[in-house]
Amino acid sequence: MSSSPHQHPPADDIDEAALERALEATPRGALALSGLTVGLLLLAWLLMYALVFLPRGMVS
Amino acid sequence: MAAQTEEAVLRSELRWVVVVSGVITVIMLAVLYAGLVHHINPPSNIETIDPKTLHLTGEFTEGNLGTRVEANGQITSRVVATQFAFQPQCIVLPANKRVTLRFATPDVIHGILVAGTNVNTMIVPGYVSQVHTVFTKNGDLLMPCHEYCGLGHSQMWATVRVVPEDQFKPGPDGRATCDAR
Repeated sequence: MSSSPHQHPPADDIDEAALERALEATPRGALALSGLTVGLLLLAWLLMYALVFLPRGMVS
Repeated sequence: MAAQTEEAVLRSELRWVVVVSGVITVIMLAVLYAGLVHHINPPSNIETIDPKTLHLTGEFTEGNLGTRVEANGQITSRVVATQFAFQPQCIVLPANKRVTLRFATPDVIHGILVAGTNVNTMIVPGYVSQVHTVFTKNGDLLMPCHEYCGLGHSQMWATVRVVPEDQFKPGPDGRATCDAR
């Protein structure tokens, strides 16, 4: 079970200000990484769709 | 966590929701485009058949399998999928013409795809699987079973021979076989 630093201040070496700085910066890196991976995935999907799926033609 | 930081995190998460919604919208639009403009849909034929008697009566008897040009000009190929072979082993079809493929099985669940095309369907005991398509390239296309059906699954495959329209010559009974060519 995780506990917040507010409840156990002595057990945590990281002070509040450092925690704030870290939390503020984290989403930017995560967004860049997710954006890149999801972007590449979407690009691969679209290439497969346009260059393989559509030219193979009608089925119903 | 400070309220300001919390708000920043929430904002970035909401931004990400917008991005993901955009991705899903693009994919859904592409799927709709393929279905509505190019008529590429999953096979949706629901037609039942008795798996116990399909080889004895009706359209899937041995003499009726393979390709046949119907009286109205429609070209239909009928194939039975069994453990572990297709009957017949080879079907011949003309290129650039709308053809109908019909499949049934007396035993377990099978599936087929025709390599290099979008033809892909499951073959389920009790149902007739039907796919309409137009083959645009000539040649022998591999049609393997793509649903694990038992120990001999990997040996279960057939050939779809696509020939130019002028070389597709059905006999007087409307039937066309790979051997006849």
